[in-house]
Amino acid sequence: MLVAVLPQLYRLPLWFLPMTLVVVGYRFYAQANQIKRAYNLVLMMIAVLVLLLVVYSQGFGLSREISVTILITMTVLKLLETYAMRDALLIVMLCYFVTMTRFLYSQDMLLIFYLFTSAYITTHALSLLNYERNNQWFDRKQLRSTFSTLALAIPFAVLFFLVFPRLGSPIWGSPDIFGEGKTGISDTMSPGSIIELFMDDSPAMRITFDEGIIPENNQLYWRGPVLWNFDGRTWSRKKHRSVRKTIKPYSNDEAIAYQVEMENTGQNYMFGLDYVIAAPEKAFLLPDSVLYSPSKINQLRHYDMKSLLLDRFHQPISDEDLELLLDYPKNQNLQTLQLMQTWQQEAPNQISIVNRALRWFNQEQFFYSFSPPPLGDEVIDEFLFGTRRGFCEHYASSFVIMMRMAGVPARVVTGYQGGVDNGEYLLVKQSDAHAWAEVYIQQEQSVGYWLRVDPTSMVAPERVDRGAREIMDDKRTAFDFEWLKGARDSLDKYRYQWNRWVRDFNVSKQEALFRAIGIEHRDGKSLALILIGVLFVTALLSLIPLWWMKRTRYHNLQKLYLKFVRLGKNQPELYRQHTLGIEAYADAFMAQYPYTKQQVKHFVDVYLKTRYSNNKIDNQKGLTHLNQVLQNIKSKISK
Amino acid sequence: MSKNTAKPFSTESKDAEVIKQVIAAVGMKILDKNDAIETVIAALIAGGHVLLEDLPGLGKTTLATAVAQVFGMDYKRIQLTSDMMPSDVLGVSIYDAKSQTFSYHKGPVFTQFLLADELNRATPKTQSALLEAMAENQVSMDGKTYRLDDVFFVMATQNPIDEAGTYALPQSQLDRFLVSLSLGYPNSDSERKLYESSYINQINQPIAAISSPDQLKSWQHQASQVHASAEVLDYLQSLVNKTRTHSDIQHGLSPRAGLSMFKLAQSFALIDDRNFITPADIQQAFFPVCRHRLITHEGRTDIELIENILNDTPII
Repeated sequence: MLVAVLPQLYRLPLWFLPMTLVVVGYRFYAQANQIKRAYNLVLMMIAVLVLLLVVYSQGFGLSREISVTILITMTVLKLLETYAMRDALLIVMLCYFVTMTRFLYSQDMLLIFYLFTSAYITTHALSLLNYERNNQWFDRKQLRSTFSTLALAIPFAVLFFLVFPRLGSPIWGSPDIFGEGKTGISDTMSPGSIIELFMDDSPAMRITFDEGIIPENNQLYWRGPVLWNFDGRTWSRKKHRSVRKTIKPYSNDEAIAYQVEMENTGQNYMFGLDYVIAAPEKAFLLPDSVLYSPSKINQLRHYDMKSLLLDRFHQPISDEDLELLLDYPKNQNLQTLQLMQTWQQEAPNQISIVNRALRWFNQEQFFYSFSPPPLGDEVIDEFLFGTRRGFCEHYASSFVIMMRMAGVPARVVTGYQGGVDNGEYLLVKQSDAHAWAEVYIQQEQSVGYWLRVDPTSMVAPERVDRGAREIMDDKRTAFDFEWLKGARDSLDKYRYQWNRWVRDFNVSKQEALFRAIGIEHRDGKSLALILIGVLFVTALLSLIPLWWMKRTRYHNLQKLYLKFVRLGKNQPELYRQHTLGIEAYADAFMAQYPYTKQQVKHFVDVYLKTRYSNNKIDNQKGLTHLNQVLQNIKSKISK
Repeated sequence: MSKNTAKPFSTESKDAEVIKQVIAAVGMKILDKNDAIETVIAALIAGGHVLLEDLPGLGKTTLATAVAQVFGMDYKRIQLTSDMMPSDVLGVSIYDAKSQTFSYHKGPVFTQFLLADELNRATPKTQSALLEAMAENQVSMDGKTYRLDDVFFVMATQNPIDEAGTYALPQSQLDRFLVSLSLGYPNSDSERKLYESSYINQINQPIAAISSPDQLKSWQHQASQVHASAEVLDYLQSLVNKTRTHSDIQHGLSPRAGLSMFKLAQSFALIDDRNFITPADIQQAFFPVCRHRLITHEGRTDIELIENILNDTPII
């Protein structure tokens, strides 16, 4: 049971572990000292108390968390009243449920091994409870039989997986039911929010390009939420009033097509290469070219994309938006403001201000670092004129504010940058998270274009050319070895296949399967029919191993005897005798065919000696000889 | 290879030859009962005792004398009646006035071959005294233990129709007998032959000893060496098990009975000049072992029931 609970431990309230230890400890103590079961009232009170504790620590409501917590805690508490076989069996069954609840959180590949182990141990406990007589926990035979029991279950699991009717949306309502996925990029950004992502090597997206050619690393800007508003510390999104499906490209360059497999995030954002020109199915584009899915991404999501690999993008802009893009917290960061105002006076041209700022980042003593010193209230001033150590977030944020102060409309774009070529596909990890800036270059009154500017590349160009991991200045953790990273990347290849074949087996794929076997429509009636059919087939299938185990297996000598028996098959009286063994049968046979007496006697003599004696004649030799004799007898009869 | 298999049981044993002669010699006296004679000899080789259940005049005594004679064994016969005391069987300690001590006078049980006629007419006390001696091969009297002969063989007879004045042997006592058999009437040809004067002369002459108690002991040893393959043991076990689950049978065979069956099968194998048991040996041993041990709801076991069980326990 412990094993079943273990993977969920971190999600459970803090008091769970001590409670478990106390319960298990008490149970062992009670067993050793023959203490009787506590009164029902006491047990009831404990249960109510724990229930209240659960509600207290996890809130009230019908959520996944609380259901799982109650299941687990009550399973543990059940130990208190486990004295009869019935209760022990119940606990084992509950353990299966606890094991299964893990799937409500994630369906990752590696988890399968863990859960199989867990199921193995639980099943073993079950078989021990049922058969154990000699107090041996690790009887090798028993371990093996548990294994084969589980192995027998695998085909059924596959069958159910394939044909058990699936529902388009999870019926158990709560939208977060499948969302263990890493949150990834969020729609706000405050100092240090991205740093957590850098530490996280888990996959964010897998991309396969139609042409099979992966663009240069410095073109791989995976656009995520665009941040407009800055309150002096935190960046956040703008609320949009309209959405659209496609954007008319302002360039005739050829679009690049690719497929994205995105890990679940529990958020609405989807990612595409700058600049996305069309939204995929069940998603649309926000005015700031951000892909947005109306439903949260709670399971692995696949979508086809088309993008133009450009760093600029023509779009008219409203006055309202312009105002927003030039806004910055007043009475803060005065040092920066002063510098910017001088710049603006010296050269009012927007492009030159942008270039000057980039040059400034490049020439001044700025450092790219994952362990920047903490910043106080005046975030921008302190960074630009003080610490000067930071990563993309700091540079993008400072740059955008600088631009706004200098009268250049600008905003922060978050997303991922780069990726690892993992053979068939490009792997983008959480650690590839990035933030960059966009400035709006006005050409006429309200017409201009967005220009992507990545100030980080001025400080650490290799970040953009080779990827985030290449430039880690120090190991992020003690376990951060090169080979481990390599192993993780190749593991992700298997995970990719796993996703393709298992996690992504959804309603539409199942429908395709049903169509392949001739079931066209999926209404209630046919669903019921399928279900009944599946159960029926399962029942039949489960008979096969039974039959297989029960079927009599004949060894060669027995087969030979049966061959002999077949000679008398058309004589019912004679044939009836064969179950009494070769001697009785041979006697009856000789009575029926007296002229074969000599051969039959010889056959029986050799046969008996071969089969039952302990100084055996070589089996193979005996068999060949016996076959010959039998052939003789046969030819004699047919004459 | 053909040399190897042409004469598969090439033990070339003279023993088997002698055993065949023994059976044939006894068969001269009891016509048409070769199977029964073979079973008796097999029981002898297996070191067990025989219970004969027959009507009077069917040759029980003749059979017993013939077997004793053919082995040249020391032979005694007791006719059991309801007034017999254990001391009439086991012997008695008598005070010797001359030596002023008790001296033990051995009873008829001190012999090699004992025919206990009409065992069920004796009182349970006497019956159990004899049966204990059979089981332990010794007699305890006045705190002293007297060993019986190494070769000690009891053939007891019972009269099935004489119900008045008999004490039926309890099931536990019956288990002491290895086999039980019934001779039954001879077939008409044999019976006809019985009345011929030449045969009457022959029957009255004692048989010359062909074998000896020592040779019997060596056979007993040989039989215990006969090999049983796993398959044969499985078959034996499933037969025994079948008697326990059969709906017509109240109590199945005990493990001791199973062991008896095994020993008897070994003897049959030896008689057939084989050093291994075949299923047929087991089948042959099955009925005589079951006959007095299995009790059906209707009464005693009959051959039909045994055939039933054999047919229900296939050996392929």
